[in-house]
Amino acid sequence: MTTRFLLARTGVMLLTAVALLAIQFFLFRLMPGDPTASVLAGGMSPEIQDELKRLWGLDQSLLLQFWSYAKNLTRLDFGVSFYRNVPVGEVVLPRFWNTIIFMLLAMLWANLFGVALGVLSVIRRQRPLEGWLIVLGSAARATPLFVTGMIFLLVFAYHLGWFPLGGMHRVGAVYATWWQRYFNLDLLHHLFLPTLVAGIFYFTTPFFVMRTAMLEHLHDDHLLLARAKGASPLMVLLKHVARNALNPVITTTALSLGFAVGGQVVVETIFHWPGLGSELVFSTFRRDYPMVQAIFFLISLTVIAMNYLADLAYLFLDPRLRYEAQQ
Amino acid sequence: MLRQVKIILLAVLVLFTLTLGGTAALATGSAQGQRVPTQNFLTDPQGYSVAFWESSQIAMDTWNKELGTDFKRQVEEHDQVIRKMFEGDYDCGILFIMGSPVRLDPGFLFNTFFYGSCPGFYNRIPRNQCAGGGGALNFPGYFNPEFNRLLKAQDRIFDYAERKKITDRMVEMLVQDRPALVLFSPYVVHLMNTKRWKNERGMPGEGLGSAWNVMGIEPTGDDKALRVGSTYAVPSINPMAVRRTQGYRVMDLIYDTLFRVDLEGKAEKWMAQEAKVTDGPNGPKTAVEITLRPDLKFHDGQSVTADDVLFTIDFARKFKAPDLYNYVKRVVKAEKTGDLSLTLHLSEPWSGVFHVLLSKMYILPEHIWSQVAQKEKEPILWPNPKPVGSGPFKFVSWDKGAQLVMDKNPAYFAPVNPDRLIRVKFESMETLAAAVEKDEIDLQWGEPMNAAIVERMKGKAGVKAIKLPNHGFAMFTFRCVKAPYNDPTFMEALEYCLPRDLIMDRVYPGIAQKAVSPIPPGNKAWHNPRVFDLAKPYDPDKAREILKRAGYTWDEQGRLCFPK
Amino acid sequence: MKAALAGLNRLGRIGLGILVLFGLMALAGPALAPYDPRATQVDAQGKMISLSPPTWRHPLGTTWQGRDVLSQVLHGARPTLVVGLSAALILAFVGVNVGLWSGYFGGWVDLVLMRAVDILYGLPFLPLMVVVMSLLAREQKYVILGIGLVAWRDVARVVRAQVLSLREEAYIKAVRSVGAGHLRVIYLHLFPNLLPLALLFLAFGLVWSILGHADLSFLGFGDPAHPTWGDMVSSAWAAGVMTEAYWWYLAPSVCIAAVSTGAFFLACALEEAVDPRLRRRGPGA
Repeated sequence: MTTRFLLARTGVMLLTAVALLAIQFFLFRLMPGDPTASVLAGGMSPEIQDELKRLWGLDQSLLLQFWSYAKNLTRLDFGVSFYRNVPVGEVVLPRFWNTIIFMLLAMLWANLFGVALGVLSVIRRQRPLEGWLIVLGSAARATPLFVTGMIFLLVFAYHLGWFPLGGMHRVGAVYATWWQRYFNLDLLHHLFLPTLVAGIFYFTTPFFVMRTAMLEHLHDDHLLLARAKGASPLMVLLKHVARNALNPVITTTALSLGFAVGGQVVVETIFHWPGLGSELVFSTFRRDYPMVQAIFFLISLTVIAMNYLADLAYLFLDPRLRYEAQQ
Repeated sequence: MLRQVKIILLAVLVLFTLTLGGTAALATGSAQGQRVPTQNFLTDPQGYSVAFWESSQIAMDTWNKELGTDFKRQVEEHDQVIRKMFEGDYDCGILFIMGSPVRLDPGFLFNTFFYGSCPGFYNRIPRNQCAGGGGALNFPGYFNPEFNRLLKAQDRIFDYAERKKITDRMVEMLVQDRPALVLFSPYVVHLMNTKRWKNERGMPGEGLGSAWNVMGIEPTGDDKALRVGSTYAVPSINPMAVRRTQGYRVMDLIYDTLFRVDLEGKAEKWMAQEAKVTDGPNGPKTAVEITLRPDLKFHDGQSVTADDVLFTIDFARKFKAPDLYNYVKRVVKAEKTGDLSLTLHLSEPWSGVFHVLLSKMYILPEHIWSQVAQKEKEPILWPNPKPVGSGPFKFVSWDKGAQLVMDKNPAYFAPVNPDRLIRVKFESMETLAAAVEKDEIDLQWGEPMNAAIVERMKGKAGVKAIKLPNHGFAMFTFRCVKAPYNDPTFMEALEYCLPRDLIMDRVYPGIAQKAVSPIPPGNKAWHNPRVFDLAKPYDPDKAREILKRAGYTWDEQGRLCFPK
Repeated sequence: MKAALAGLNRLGRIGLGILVLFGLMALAGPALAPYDPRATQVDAQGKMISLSPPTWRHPLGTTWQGRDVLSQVLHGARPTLVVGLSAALILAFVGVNVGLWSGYFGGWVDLVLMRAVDILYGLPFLPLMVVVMSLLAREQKYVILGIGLVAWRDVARVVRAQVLSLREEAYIKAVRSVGAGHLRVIYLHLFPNLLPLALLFLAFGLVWSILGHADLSFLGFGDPAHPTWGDMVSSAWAAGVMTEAYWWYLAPSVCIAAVSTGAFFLACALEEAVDPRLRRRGPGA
């Protein structure tokens, strides 16, 4: 029966992906503005404009364009960027990895802070510290990323000089392989500040989830048993309560990871991190349809996949839900 | 239940306070009767250029206050600004004409920006029905038959003095007809870090971004990697598809051209050892005889020959290379006269052939591109992943939208100082300036630096702001085929009410030159100083008087109304 | 009034206080502003007072073009709250209605509406807003519509879940069995039960819209006719004087953070007050 649930869930996920693909295709073509506008600055004649439209396939009907787009996508061919004149995949895939590695680290920070402070707030419940932690948790989520980002950049990179001013690698670094590119200390040095900023913004969710879950389990029967066996209250809290409370944290992390993939435009702008978000904004400005579509599609796929994973995790981590699914 | 009621009560209270506080002042301003309607002033967003943003703010405020007009800002992304202006879908707006080398040529400049081929050009008549097209960027829709006649005439004249006389006349016409109001010509201000490099070679209009500087700048020590930063991305590294100044800057280094525009702004022989204009079968002065240098090599070791040049011309014509096609079209026939020599036959004499065509046409290696032409369905869209040219630098790697790396070409015929060139893309001027300050970046390329940043960098050790004259300029462009701009009186009043000095003083304190025509003083060879006498000084009283005399009135609210 | 306040915890009351304070600022700010926020201030010699640090004459300093920062901050409250509140109203309205219909009717209606929610979840918020703003224009009403019509997805999900359990309650079943019309059941019987939830999402919606609007303004999509705090920070960033002129962007940054933190406090308190058992997966995911 669980298999049936899984199948249904997978089917829904695939359908959503297809629907998104179509929506994104037509949404961007609704945008006023001709992509050939980007060539005008050089002083084009109408003749050249028409030629470019033909090259880019913009002279065909929308449906035909969609058909060839979908067809090429099955071969993982996103088309050629109007503005950059290179296959979209060449630009988008490295940026996709940059974004993923960025988000993984940011989420690591978020969960470290969130879980640690969440546990701390429960240990110190009914004391002033709890109140301050809640204030901190709320303020972190309510402060715009550009405010924290700018302040961190100014203080730690510009004034103190502990971190580079942005970018992904040392200026002029050239890497031969994917592995070398993503696994080196230089990258970590550049990642630290921007991911910390994002981590602070996102730590609120794990913080509150952890707190709530722990408070819920605080009075469970088996805790009394543990206490009766002579374990110290702190040990009980950490060993039994905190461990159980981690489950919802894991599922929500999967969810927020999905959302966060698309939401880093601001941090990427401040730290000029070459991620998907800033490229998306840039391509939108230039009406670079193939690029915008590919980026949107990748982000959406990540979100859907993460949602799916979160559902699965929920299913396997929570026995009650597993039972429900079987019904 | 009680608790819920309480909360609802509370929420209503909060809502009430907030909505009261939030009643937005909705502008009504509908055009009634005779009023000059609200005019949308098209600008780029602030992040594109804070200076242009503020310049237009000052002008709009002054006009609205002194003349009773209603100019309102309309913000669009830069590409969309250009598109709207191109389609004539705008009232007025600000535009910056960058000082690229090719624009030093008045023929090129006027052909692009002020040539209109028929009356009502851009006014409901589709461009392609207007015989002969028109200037691709004639945003105002300017049409003046006399101007067009002079433009054609000067294009065929090779003698400088004679050409200058005609150009002067044309510049004066533009100042008097006012299809656009030129504001000022900002100096090219670029930041440079003096720790690793010295003796930079600034070029008017190009600043530190020119190939001359990149090749000739001298290292202070052993670190011979030159790190340059720009807020613009490199669009493409296909020399036939390149369309933006930023792309040219990179292509200028990887590829080479027969001519190059030198530091003084003159097109000089570069790959060409000999070049002269002679009489040909199409008439006097229609044949261009060129001999190549014998020591030219592509990066893969193959020699550059006349065949490569002929192939390039063919390729650009056959596949309609976006920027080149309009010019390469004028070469009706090209023939080889030896291994290293060739003759181009033009349809008619063309004084801009060296400056406009030959210093812009990157010579392709035939042995590579002939295969591209055969194999690729759309050779113009070929990404050119590993460009092979014959320029001073060899391509190494490109992280699109982040970093482009090139190495020195040791076999190049002219000296090249840096061993490696690294171009980094920044998201904002702010971080770019900080990177120069913190020794991460040696030079700034391209876009001029913000005035406020230049001010802040004063006195910082190791950072230098280089200030160079510019033939680029900022202008307000008006749809002069449309009311109220079709009325010369109105345009004259606008100019009388344009506080050029105030704008320069506030937005570009000390880093802009006064300019009133599309050929600013920065373009030494073609500038006409008489235009300063023709331009109107700031005098709002005079502006109102002119309008009153022409029959314009003001209603109770002080809004300007059309003559009855 | 007193009774209503008692329904909230201390944090909620603080949050409410902050919001009321900013509400007053939106009301009276423009009248209190010492200068015209757009006018360039000049000194006795007629020279522009550019980038002046805080002084008695300009308590929060001036901008690059000599505009008074304090006046700009006071004027910025109104557009921020107008956008935040209107967008929050729209998203709560749409979200609650979608949730109601989806939960009440079930079947095809539910399937279609929930797939729409799934799809909206698949569209990243800020990038989507950028596209929407490019599609339309940089005007306040489009920011409101954009945020309001995208961010309702979270509301719809929670409301639907709530309706699903309410639907099974004896009282609703009874109403339905007497033959009450669908609309009657939905809006007269189900909706009142969801009002507190709607209020809660109004508060969360305020946080989302204020932050979303601020991010858009920072990226340069603000309405030039109604400059907000986000636009002020954006101007400072564009002028490139962040390293020196801290006074230009600090006050507006603090204001944005304060007003959205206030709304967040209120939302958390409402959440607790509305239904202590209603533990969502985390606030403002």
